[in-house]
Amino acid sequence: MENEELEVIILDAKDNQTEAIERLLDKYKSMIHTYSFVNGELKEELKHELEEETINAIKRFQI
Amino acid sequence: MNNDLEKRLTAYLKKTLRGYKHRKQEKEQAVQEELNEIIEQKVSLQKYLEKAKDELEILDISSDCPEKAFTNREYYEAMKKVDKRQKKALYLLVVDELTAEQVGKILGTSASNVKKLKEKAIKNFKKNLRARNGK
Repeated sequence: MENEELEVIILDAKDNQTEAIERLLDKYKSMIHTYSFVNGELKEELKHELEEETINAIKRFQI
Repeated sequence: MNNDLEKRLTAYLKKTLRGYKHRKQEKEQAVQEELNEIIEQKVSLQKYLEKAKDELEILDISSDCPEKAFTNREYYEAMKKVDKRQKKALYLLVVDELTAEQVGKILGTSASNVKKLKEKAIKNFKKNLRARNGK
């Protein structure tokens, strides 16, 4: 993904556009999945919270 | 420079998610510690209440259970083992200060028998006490 394309997606996500948010969540799903493990066990609740935190972080992110 | 924005966003999200997870785990640990403390306090309170209940039972003295007059556990146990009729005679004579005749009427026996019951009560009490002390 090129800088310009990513920038547009981030701006759209900041603007609450569902498609943009979903694309970014999809892009970072493996990272979210990795952080969702506690003592070798996948925590679904934590995963959901991390997804929400990712969205909030993207909205806070300064381009 | 092409992927500069992507790198920055990835690093930022990594830092954010790691921090979020860390804070959540710390919070959960604190809650668990607080829970453990509450459980510990509850156990202590239960033990205290059980002990208090025992002490209250001991204070509930009557001629049927004169052993409850003893706050000393050894004396209490030794008197508890004494025959019910014997300790009742002892209690009525010593604590209620009745005469042997009056106690005899209550127990349905003679005055001389009441005195024998009292002596036996004392003898058995001492015997039980010695047995407890292993003598």
